[in-house]
Amino acid sequence: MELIDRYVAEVGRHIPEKMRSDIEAEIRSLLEDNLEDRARQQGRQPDEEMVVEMLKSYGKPEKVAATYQPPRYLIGPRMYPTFLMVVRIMLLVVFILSLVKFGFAVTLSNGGLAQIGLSFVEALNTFLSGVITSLGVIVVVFAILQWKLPQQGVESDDWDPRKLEPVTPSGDQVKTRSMIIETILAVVFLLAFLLYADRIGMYMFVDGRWVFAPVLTQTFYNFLPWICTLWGLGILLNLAVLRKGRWQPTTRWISAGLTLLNIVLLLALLGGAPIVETTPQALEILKGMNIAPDAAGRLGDVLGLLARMILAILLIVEAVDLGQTLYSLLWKKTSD
Amino acid sequence: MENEAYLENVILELRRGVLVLAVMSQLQEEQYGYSLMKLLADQGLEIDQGTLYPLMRRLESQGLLESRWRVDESRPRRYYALSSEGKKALPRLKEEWQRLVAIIGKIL
Repeated sequence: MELIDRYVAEVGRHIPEKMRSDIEAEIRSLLEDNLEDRARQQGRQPDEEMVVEMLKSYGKPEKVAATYQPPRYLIGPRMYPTFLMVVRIMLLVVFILSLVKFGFAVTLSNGGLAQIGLSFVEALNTFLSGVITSLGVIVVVFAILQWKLPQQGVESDDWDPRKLEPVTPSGDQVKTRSMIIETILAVVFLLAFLLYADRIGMYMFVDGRWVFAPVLTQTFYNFLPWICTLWGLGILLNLAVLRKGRWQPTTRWISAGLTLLNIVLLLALLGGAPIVETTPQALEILKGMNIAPDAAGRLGDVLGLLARMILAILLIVEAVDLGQTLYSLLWKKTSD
Repeated sequence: MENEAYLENVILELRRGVLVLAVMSQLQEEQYGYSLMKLLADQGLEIDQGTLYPLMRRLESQGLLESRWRVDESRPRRYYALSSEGKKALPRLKEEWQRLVAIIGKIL
């Protein structure tokens, strides 16, 4: 009966240790009964052929082991949509960072096709390794959450239909998940600007060490209190909306007001002096890297252009947002 | 082809609920797994062994069955029987089954 021993041991290998010996004993008992019955029916002693036939009818060991356990997930159905959203955001961020790296490399290169190709391969490498590392971290974090978070609790049946919230018109519904992510990102950026504004700039690897060169101008720092104030107010508004679970006319008007102020701020930033430049420190470092002054100048131009493009895109986004908010307030029927 | 697979799934789902009642009804007296499977098969209900044992363990963890190991014919076997909770639940399950059969019979 060596085959039965091997079969039982193989099933046991796929079963958690705490229940293994019990299930193994149970399966062995069932198989022996089964074999005895077959031998009786066929009127002969059990042989290897009979054992093989019986084990085949019982099923593959992994499959048998699986029937003894509830479905197990690394990331379960409840967490999966959030996981997907975080992965999408990560992909976008890594892609943008790789693109920026490629842009810098092209600007600082001597314009040769071979060097641009090399920069492209490097950027692709940054993208792929960034995606793999980030994906690994995200999967580990979600797997820990899946393991640690309590399963959907049993909810009380004591509820009153009269206490249900009124139906929220589609225009007033809050996209909770995206608003939470937006708020978290806003808090992270706000903290970064409040605590580390002086460390935002270019980091370059020169002579075996990382050197930092600021790129933000005094104009930017003059605007920083306004940027942080508007961001802070936006975060407070998001929290209020999330708490209420839906948009209301008051929160809509506040949102419209904040968006308008954002537009004014963006226009001021676009119309004023540049907010990024190759500062004297940056020029000094680039010189140390044997980068020609005209290439360094080009880098300054690219940085300035990039900043203006980002501001222009933000301006368009804010304008569209303002239009949508005003449309919801003035033309669409709302719940209040 | 897809429809055929879907139908088989529906039939499997239908059977799954009924199996609990069938198994519990046969465990008013102690049975070990293989004897229970034969008992059900003799009455026309074939049940896959990979389904029966996990089902009995689940019912035991829910407190409807209890089990003990006993050495029979020089071989250890696990015997299952209705627990006191299971004995209370069985008449209610039977009643519900009769009611369902009557209703579905009328509907069909």
